Parts: sequence; C-alpha cells; structure tokens
Amino acid sequence: MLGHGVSDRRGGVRQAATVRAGRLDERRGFLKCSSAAAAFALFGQAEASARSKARGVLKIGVSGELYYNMLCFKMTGQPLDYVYALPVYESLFRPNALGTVDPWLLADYEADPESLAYIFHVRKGVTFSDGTRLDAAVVKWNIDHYLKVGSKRVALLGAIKSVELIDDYSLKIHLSTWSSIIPTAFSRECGYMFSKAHYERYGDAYCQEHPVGTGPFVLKQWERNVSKLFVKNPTYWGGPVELDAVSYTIYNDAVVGQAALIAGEIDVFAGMELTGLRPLAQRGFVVKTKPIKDHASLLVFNSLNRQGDDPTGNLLVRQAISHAIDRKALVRAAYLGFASVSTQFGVGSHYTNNAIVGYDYNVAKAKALLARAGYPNGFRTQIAAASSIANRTALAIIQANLATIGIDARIQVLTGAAANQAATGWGSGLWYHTSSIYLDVAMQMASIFSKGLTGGVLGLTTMLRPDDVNAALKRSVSSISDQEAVAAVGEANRLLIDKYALYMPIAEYPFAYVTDKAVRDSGIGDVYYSIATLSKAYIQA
Amino acid sequence: MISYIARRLLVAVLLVLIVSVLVFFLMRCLPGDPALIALGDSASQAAIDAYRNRLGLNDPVYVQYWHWISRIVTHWDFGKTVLNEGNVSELIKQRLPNTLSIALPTLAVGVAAGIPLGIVTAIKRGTWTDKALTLLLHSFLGTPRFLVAIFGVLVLSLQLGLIPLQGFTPPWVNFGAYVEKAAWPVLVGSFYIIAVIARHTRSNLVEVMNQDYIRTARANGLSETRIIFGHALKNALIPVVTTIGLEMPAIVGGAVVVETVFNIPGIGQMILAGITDRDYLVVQASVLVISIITIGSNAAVECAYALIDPRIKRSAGQ
Repeated sequence: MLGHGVSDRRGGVRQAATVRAGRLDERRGFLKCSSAAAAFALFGQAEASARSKARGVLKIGVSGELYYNMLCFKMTGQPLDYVYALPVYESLFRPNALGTVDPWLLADYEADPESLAYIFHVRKGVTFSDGTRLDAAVVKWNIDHYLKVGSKRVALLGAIKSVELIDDYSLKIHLSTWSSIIPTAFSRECGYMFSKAHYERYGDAYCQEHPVGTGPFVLKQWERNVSKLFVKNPTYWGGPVELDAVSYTIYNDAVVGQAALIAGEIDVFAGMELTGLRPLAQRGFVVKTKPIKDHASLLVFNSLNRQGDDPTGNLLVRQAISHAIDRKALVRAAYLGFASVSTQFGVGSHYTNNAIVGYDYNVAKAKALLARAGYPNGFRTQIAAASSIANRTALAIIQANLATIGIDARIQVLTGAAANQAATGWGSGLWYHTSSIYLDVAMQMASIFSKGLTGGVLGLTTMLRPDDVNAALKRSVSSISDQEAVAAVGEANRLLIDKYALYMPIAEYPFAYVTDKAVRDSGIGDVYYSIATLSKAYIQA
Repeated sequence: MISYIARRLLVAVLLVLIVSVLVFFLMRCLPGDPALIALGDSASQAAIDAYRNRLGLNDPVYVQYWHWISRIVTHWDFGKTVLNEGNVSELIKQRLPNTLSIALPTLAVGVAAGIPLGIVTAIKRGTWTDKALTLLLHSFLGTPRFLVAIFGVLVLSLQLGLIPLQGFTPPWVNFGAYVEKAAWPVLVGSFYIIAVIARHTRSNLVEVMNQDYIRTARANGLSETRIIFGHALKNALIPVVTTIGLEMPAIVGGAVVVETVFNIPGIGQMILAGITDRDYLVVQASVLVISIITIGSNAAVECAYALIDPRIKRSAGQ
C-alpha cells in the first residue's frame, strides 16, 4: 500500500519526485486504509446488528391441542385457543396494559348510548393473508356470521340487534339494549376477522384447518396433537415481519416441556405448570406472571339440583362447605406462591366490593350449619375438576377439609373435552372451576352468571340463576357510567356469595408464560394472554 | 397342517368379530351425546337431529353395528372423528405405521437381547454373573416405563446431550433421523420385554438341561456348547415363542406411554386423545386395530408353534 521509493543515482529530481510520489502514495494508501477500515467497521457493525437481531423460527411449546379447530367462529375462549391464534388472527380491539381496550383493526369507534349504537371505523390498509381487503362489508359479514354460529354470541353479543353499513369503512352496530361490554367482547375471539372471500370460496369444513386472518403468519402445516407450523405472511399489512416462522410443539408431559426449554428445543412455553416456574426462573428464563392475574379458581355447587336429591342444592349446606375450606392453606399448597386468596370474582380490579362478608374458615360453624341443614353426620358427594397439578392438589385439600365435617367427597379428575363439557353441567356435587378473568369483569360475570345463556357456560344445567343477580348483572353491562357498573358488579357478587352461596372464590393466579431471554419484542405475556406482537418479535443471536 | 392353520385363522376372525361387538356396544354405554360433543352445547335441536340422522345415530344399535362393521370390511372405512370430522381410517393409516416402527424394533431388541441374557443366566446359574444379571432383569421388570422414559429425557438428553429430547421422524422419510430419535423410545419399551424373555428363556433352559436326554448327550461326550446350542436351546425356545407373540399386543397397547412422553404421533397417542375428547369412533377403531394385532399375533404364534414343534406338527397333520 505504501509506495516504495526507488533509488536513482542519476536523477535527483526523479528521486525527489519519486519520494513525493511515494509520500502521496503513502497518503493515498493511508486514506485507502482508513476508509477501508472505516467501511469495514461500519459494515461489521451493521452485520453485528443484523446478527444480534436474528430471524429464524420462534418455537413455542404448549401443553395441549385445540379442542376444535382453527376456525375462529368455533373458538370458545380457552387459553389455548388464544395461544394458537396469536400468529394468524387479529381482533377489532385489543387489551392494553391499563386493563382496558384500544382499537386495533379499527381506526376508531364511537359509543352512542342514547341511540343504542356503536359506530366502528375500520382501519384502512388492512389485508388478509390471501390478499383481500378488510373493509366494513367484511367486518359486517364476520359479525353477522358470529351472531349465527359463535360460541359466545349470546353471552357477549346478545345485545346486538343488527349491523348496518355506513360506507366502505364504517359500520353501525345497533343494540336492543345498551351494552358497555361490546368493545371488550370484540377484543377477544368474537372480534377475530376471517377472510370472507376465503370462507365463501372453500367452505366451512376446509377453513377449519386452513384459517385466513389478518395476522403476520399463515398456517402451513398441522399435525394434530403433535405440532403446527406458521410461516411469515410476506404481505402483512403491518409491515415487515422479522421472524421467518412460528412453530408450536405439544408437550403432553410437563417435565419434558421444561426440559425442552432448558435444552433450547423451544423458546417459549405457554401455560407452564406452576411447579416448573421457580426452577426455570433460577436458570435465567423469563417467567411472565404479571401484570394481570388473569385466572381465578372457584368452587361451584349443584345449586340448581334438578334431581332434587343433592345436598348441595341446600343453601345451608353450601354455606357449611364454604366455612369448612381453609383457603389460605389451599392457595399456599396448590399455587406455590403464585396466587392470592380471592374474596370474589375479579378481585384486584376496581370492581371489588369490600362489603362482601364471605365465609371464614370455621369448622365449628360449618358443622353447626350442616346439622341445621339436616346432615349432622355429613353425606357423600363428589368433587370434579379439569386435570392440572394445581387442581389435583386443590381437590385433595378440599376433600380433606370436607372430611372434617363428615362429608365424604369422591374426587373426579377430567381432561380435554370431557372437562370442557363437565364445566357446563357436572351432574351433582361440586365443581372446582378455573376461569380466565377477562378484562371487563362486568362482561365476564354477565357471560357466566346471567339467565338465558346458551353454549359452553359454567353450570348451565347445575347452577341457580336468581332474578336479583340477573338484574344486577344486566345493570352492570348496560350502565353508562363506570360508577354504576362497579356498584352493580359488586352487588351481583354480594348476592352470589353472601346471599345464595352459589360459588366460593378460592384463588386468583396468572396464566404463566416462560420465555428464553433471547426472545425479544414478542409481547407474549406482557399485557394479557390473548395478544402478542409476533410481527415485531425476533430472537437475539 | 394347512387345515390346522385354516382353523386357527377362522378362530382368529371369529374372535375379532366378538371383540368388535363388545367394543361397539361398550362405547355406546358411555355417557355423553356424540352430537353434542361434535356440535357444542350451543347447537340447535335441529342441527343435533340432522347430525344424528346423518351418522345413523337414531337407528337401532344392532343396525348401527352392522353399518359400522360392513363399512370396515368392505371399504376399510372406520367413519369420521366426532370433533372435527376427520377420516378415522386415514388417521389409522398415518399413525399405525409410526407405532409399528417403534413396536417392531422394540420387540426385535427385546428378543435379540433377552434370549442371550436368558442363556447366560441359565448357564451361569448360581454364580455372581447370574445374580447380577437377575438383579438387572428384575429392575427392568419393576421400573415403570414412564420413569425410564423421563430418566432418559432428563439425564441422557438434557444433561448429556446423547439423545434427542422428543419427536419422531418416520424411517421412510429419513432413516438416520429415525434411528436417532427412535433409539431411546425403543429401548424404553424393550427393557421390560428383555426381562420377560430372558426370565422365560432361563427357566425353560434350566428345565430342559435337567432332562434325561441331555444327561445322555453329556454322557456320550458331547461338548457343553453343542449340548446347549444343538439340543437344549431348540426345545427351550418353544414356549418362549409364545411369550414373544404375547408381548406384541402389550407393546402396541402400551405405546401410549412412550408416544405421550416422546410426542410420537402413533395409535397410542390417538387412543389417549380419543378418550379425553370422548371421540368414540376413534377409540372404537383404535381398540379394534389393537385387537386385530393381538389376535393376529396369537394366531401367528400358534401357527409358528405347529411349524417348530414336531409334536404339534404331527397332531396337526392328523
């Protein structure tokens, strides 16, 4: 690079010129070197930056398969429905960190309680993965279709009378009665948008395994009960997608799932059993259990008692059982420090009613109530729950507590669709229920405890639905002011617990995600379990 | 001989039919309406009625059985899954080869290791070798497959990185990957088989070695090796053939543990999912397939018996 001076005895000028040339060469060479070095540094930095933001496949481990299929209208709002929907579906609204919802596929909306209507303004530029456009007509089609076949159409959207198109990107939702929960309802599976063109072309059966949403990924492969692969949607409306693909692998065994995380076989585990959280956190994994304790467990009774022979149909018996259970001990043992004792459905939210008396742990009181009810020596019953480590522990503790007052409770642990169905009507005795607490507690409670519900609703055939509870819940979802809604929910809870003892609140805890430190910007577990930002997610190299 | 085999096959077919009747009627005794399971509780009565009519669920049970069994016999059509109307025959066609690609090597490893171990423990009867190997075989018998499987996952995979954590690649897709992933699941399943076959081989060989003709052979100056491998073993292995045949259904039926832990999409996993999902057609079909394998294995063992045992061959020929 540096010029070499050429020794010339004959020509000093030449020598001088050569030296000058040499020095010039040196300077040029230095400049060349420097600029090369600078270029190399810049390039290297860019490359390092690119390397640090590696693409590739985000591998998610899950504990089970979808109950039904990938068609959003069929989803019942189980946590796994949302987990599998993350790459494909987006909804009209989405939850935020404050516990409310923001428009997502909508640009904006207006609520008009006086006219019993909402006006939705659809975001422009949104496309489905098949290239078709999301506009008001497609949104209307989706809502109309959900109102015909959707699982929660009565519980969450029962107030919708009709949907009217205003223009290409605006539509009006007419209500039969005011419902403040409509935006929150459309932030969950009710609000997932499916491509109308795809559905009309291929039909319902095909779409069940070939979903087309507006999300950043497209389902490519599905081996039922084994795995799914979603590949990048190259025309995603929200901009370039960092990851190449997202894969899901089912780990039927919790230990193998944990081992898979440790071995690096997966980057995320959705719905990890609580027993695995601390060991994984100690190994440096990110355990996401905040900010929202989005699940609750309740003990529910066969208060409807259609056969007329179930002691739990008696209010005094229900109250006795409520006094017999040591909830502090149960929560400690079953939830390993990741839960808190609950006093009512939705504790921790601003709907909490501190005037609820509840049932303290008091075996003597429990025995006295049982004797008054006509069962001084107890009775035989059963207690059922969906299978999980926490639930099995809880059932064992409840069984032991009930034995102290003479109640012989047989435990029944159910899995899969059997558990799903039992939640709707478990026959007789008690059901230990685990429920997600969706953002709007009023909406959640109205969709569970109101009269006239259909579908996969808790205790549809086993739980009493008194008129005064129903009235309070109706007020909570139709009230215009937040204060009114809070008071109405509080009243409903007071009636459900203190007056009728229809359920006993036990614990509230989070749906746990565990992620590898290298996973960035995925949004998984940051706000609420039903959303993520997989379009921005990447894996740190 | 041919008539002997034909009689055995006829009995096998009759047994399969009996099992099919039992399975069909037992599944219909279970609580739960398949229409409700398929359509969900929000389904209208009209939709439920239409579904039941379409699947013939309103017909008398014996008529339903006839339709079901005749479709299987004539078209190998096991019907559709309740939850998502997938083709059950297709599912079996996809999953049975996966189960067999674990089950058959499991049996092969069990036989290949079990017989020699049985011979060694018989020959070295009473020595420290016998005691050590017997202890090992008892531990194989007593340790649940699930525990062995998890041990492999935690120690051999996670700690030592010797085996993959889970997953399955069919041998016809990538043989190398298949061997890598199937090695530990096959071994997990084979430990028990090794122990059973080894113990049977040992006890039969010890019994045969005490027979008069063996004493005669020894007296005639034949070497111990020739006595064992030329005379004793042949007779000692006849009952072991039965054992091998009986283990096949146990391997296939017990595949649920191995397939669950290692995430292998086989029949075992299919049965488990069918039970938890109350998909009675899947359970029916899976149980029928396993019973066909069971009865088929027994029939094959009986025919093999006739071929290798001259006493049975003689009476079969009569």
